[in-house]
Amino acid sequence: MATQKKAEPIVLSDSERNLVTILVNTDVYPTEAVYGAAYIFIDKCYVLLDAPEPNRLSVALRGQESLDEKALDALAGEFLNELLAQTLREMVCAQNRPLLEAVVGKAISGAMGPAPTPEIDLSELDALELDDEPFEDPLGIAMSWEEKYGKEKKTKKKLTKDGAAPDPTVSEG
Amino acid sequence: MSSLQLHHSIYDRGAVEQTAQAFEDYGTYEIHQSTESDHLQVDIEATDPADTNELIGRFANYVLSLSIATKRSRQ
Repeated sequence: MATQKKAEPIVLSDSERNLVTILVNTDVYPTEAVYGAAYIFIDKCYVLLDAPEPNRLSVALRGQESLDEKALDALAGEFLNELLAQTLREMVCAQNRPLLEAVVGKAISGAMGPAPTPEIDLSELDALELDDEPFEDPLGIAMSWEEKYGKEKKTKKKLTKDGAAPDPTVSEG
Repeated sequence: MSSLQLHHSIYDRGAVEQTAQAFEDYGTYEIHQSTESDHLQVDIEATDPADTNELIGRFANYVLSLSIATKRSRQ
C-alpha cells in the first residue's frame, strides 16, 4: 500500500489545559489565510501562533472560559472552516488582483478630478504689436452683403421703370 | 512568572513592545531574544497573580492583531 503525504491539518485537543492546537501545512493553506482566520478568532478565544518547522504553522486556541473536549473540537472545526474560507478568498483575490487594481486606480484618478492642463507659454504674445485702430478694407471684404449690394439692386429696378439713372445721393428708407 | 514564546517570523518586535506598553497597568514584562530558538521570549508577571492566565491570553491576542496589521500595512 502506497503511503500518502498528509496535507490536512492535525488537531490536538487538551481539555486539561483548555487548549486545542492545530498544525497547518502552509503549502496547502497560505500563511495569509492562517493570519486571517486567527484574526477572526481573537474575539472568541486566546490565539497563539508558532512556526515549529518550515512550511508548518501551529495555531493554539485557548478558551476564554472552561471548555470540554467536545467544545474544543467544535472550536477547532470552526477554525478549519474559517481557514478554508480565507484560503478561497486569497485565491480569488490573487486571480482578480489585476482587475481590482485597475478598478481602484480608475476610481482614485476619477476622484482626483480632471488632469491639469499643461501650462502654455504666452510670453511670445507680448512681443506682438497690436494697435487698436481698425484695419483698412479697400475691397470691402468686411462689409455685409446687404451693405454692399442690397441698395444697388433696388436702384437698378428703379432705373428700368423710369428709364433714367437714379440719384445716388438719395437714399431710400 | 510565566512566559510567552513568540516566533520572530510571525510576531513583530515593535508590536511586542507596543503591547507591553499598552498592558503596563496589569503587569511587568521583560522581552528578550531566546538563545535556543527563533523566538522572542516575553516574561510576564501579572500585578494580580490570579489574572496571569487571562493576562497572557489577552497579551497574545493583542500582539497578534498588531503584528498582522503591521504585516498587512507593509504589503
